[in-house]
This record gives sequence, C-alpha cells and structure tokens, in this order.
Amino acid sequence: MSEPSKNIDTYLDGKIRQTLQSNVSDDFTFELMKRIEIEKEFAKEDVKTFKMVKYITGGFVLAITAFIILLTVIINNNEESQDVGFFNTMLEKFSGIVESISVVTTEMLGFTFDYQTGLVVLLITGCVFLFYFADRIIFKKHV
Amino acid sequence: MPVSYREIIDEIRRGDTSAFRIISDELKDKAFSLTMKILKNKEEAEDSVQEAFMKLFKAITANQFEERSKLSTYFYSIVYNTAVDNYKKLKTQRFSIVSIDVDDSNFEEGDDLVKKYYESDIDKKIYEERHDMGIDKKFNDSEIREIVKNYIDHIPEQYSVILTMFYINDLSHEEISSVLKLPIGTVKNRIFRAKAKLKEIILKKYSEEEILQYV
Repeated sequence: MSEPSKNIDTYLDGKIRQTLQSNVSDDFTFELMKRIEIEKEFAKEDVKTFKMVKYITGGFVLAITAFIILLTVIINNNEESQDVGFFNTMLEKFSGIVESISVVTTEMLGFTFDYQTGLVVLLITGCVFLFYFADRIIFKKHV
Repeated sequence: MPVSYREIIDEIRRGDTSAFRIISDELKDKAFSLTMKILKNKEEAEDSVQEAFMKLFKAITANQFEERSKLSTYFYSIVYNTAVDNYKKLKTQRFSIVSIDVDDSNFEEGDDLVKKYYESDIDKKIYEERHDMGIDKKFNDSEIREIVKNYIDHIPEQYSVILTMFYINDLSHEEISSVLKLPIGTVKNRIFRAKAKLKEIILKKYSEEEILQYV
C-alpha cells in the first residue's frame, strides 16, 4: 500500500507546485532593468559628489591650516623685527580689524577679543569642520 | 557568457548590469509566487518583487552579499522581508508568520488550516456537481486542480508561504527555518499537515484507485 500512496504523494506534489506557481507580467524585466540603469547612474553621481565633497573639505582644511601657520609666522616675525614691510602692513590692518571687533565684543559681551582669541576661534572652527567631515573622508567607503 | 552565480556577480561588480537580467529571469516568477502568497495583489506583489531585486542589486554592488549562503536563499530572504514590510505598510496590519500559530496537538477538520476552505462555496459546488452526476463520474484532473487551488487559496499564510518556499523556491527545511526564524520542526510539521489535509480532502472525493488509474 505504500507504493500507491507514494504515487499519490508525487501526484499531489505536482499539483501543489502547479497551483502555487504565479508569473510576473511581460514587461517586468524591462521595468526592472530600467530601474537598475537609473540606480547605476545615481551611483555614478554619488561617486562624483563624494569626490567633490572630499576635495572641497580637504581644500578648506588646508586653507585654514595654512592661514594659521602663516599668521603665526607673521606674528613671530613682527615680534623679532621692527622692519616695515608688506607683512607688517598687513598685520597692522589685521590687528586693526581684530581691535575693532574686540571693542565691539567688549561692549556687547564683556570680554576682550585679541589676535590670540582669533587664532583659538579659527582652530576650533577647523576642529569642528574636521570632526563633522572626518567620517566621510576617512571611514566611509564610497559605493 | 557567465555561467554560474559567482561569475554573474563578478560581472555585475565590474559594471555589467545586463548580467543582472540572468538572475532576474531565473528568480522573478519564483519570487513573485512567494510575494503573491503574502500580498495577494498582482500589482503590489510586482512592485514588492522589483523592490527586492533592487535591494539585491545594491547588496551585490556594495559587496554586502558575502556568499555565506546561496544567492537564491539570500534573495528569497529579501523577498520575504520586503513583502512582509509592504504588507504592514499597505494593509496597516501586523503580519507575523509566528503569531498566527496553530496548536499542533489539535489537528482536526475545524482548525484554521481548513476552516476557510470548508467555508468556501467552491468545494461545496464541486461536491454537489459530482454527487448529481453519480459516484462513478470519471476522474477529472482539472477538478483536482481546482480543489488544490481552492485549498491553497484558503489556507492561512503561515502554511501557504512555507509551501511556496518548499515547492516553488526549492528551499530546504533548514533554509526555510532560517528565513522565517522558525524551529525546523514547525516547518516540517506545517508542510506535512498541509499536504496530509489536502490528501484527505481529495481522498474523500476520489478513491486511491481512481487517482492511480489516472496517474
């Protein structure tokens, strides 16, 4: 009796398989491949955007670093030499701006804003910028 | 021309998206069959399968598919989860393969495995028609097909989804257990019970001899 039962089982397996089978519409693959192509284009654009962000971020960080180094060099030179030159003129102008900002901040907030404060603010800005974008530059792989 | 999934995946990662068509052609109908058992709507099911294919494509290109499992098993897992997510979104109901559980010790005609089937008119009509024509009516293959279809359409999702994974997606008991996060015993039990009940229904209408003559 086990053999006929096995045949019925096989027959039922076939019927269940037939019943469960459904087919997608004819344009399914066409629509899917269209979406895949669009996705591919988006991925390309993402790579471009990532590269651009990387260069802009790197450029900005470099500019801040260079500016801080330059400013430190100018200040040190100014303390050692009293020669009147282009850098000293620039420094005087910069000091003037810093002084005027300092006056305003003293009046409004009650603390002095000198060139050292300016350097600290620039440094903090640089750190915040690095902190914000560091994961994108260092850790995340682009797709 | 790539021949294995390994080669197809390499082609896709090299930027040849047309190679993805081979995967799509092979798995689309099987994935659709599974999704239909959950969403029960052709348009929604097609959208869901498209979404699942997109997830697979992204997983391949982003090297997220680590090839610890077979590509088809990995894909059916995506298909199932995407369909369940869409079911929740579309129907704003909770779909759970675990929550609608049938007590295995109480396997009787009145349980929810066949409740809806017996409530449906189709079975009754087939029975009446057969009765009117006399008991010696010749074995009818299309009638059997109708009975099976009606039965499959009316059993709860926790049975039809597992049956689809087993019969259409060709997943093993272990793979189904892993995708659905169900004990393997439950998977085997549901397949066995669903089939045993169907056999019982058919054998009420036809004798084994009648069926075997045809087979």
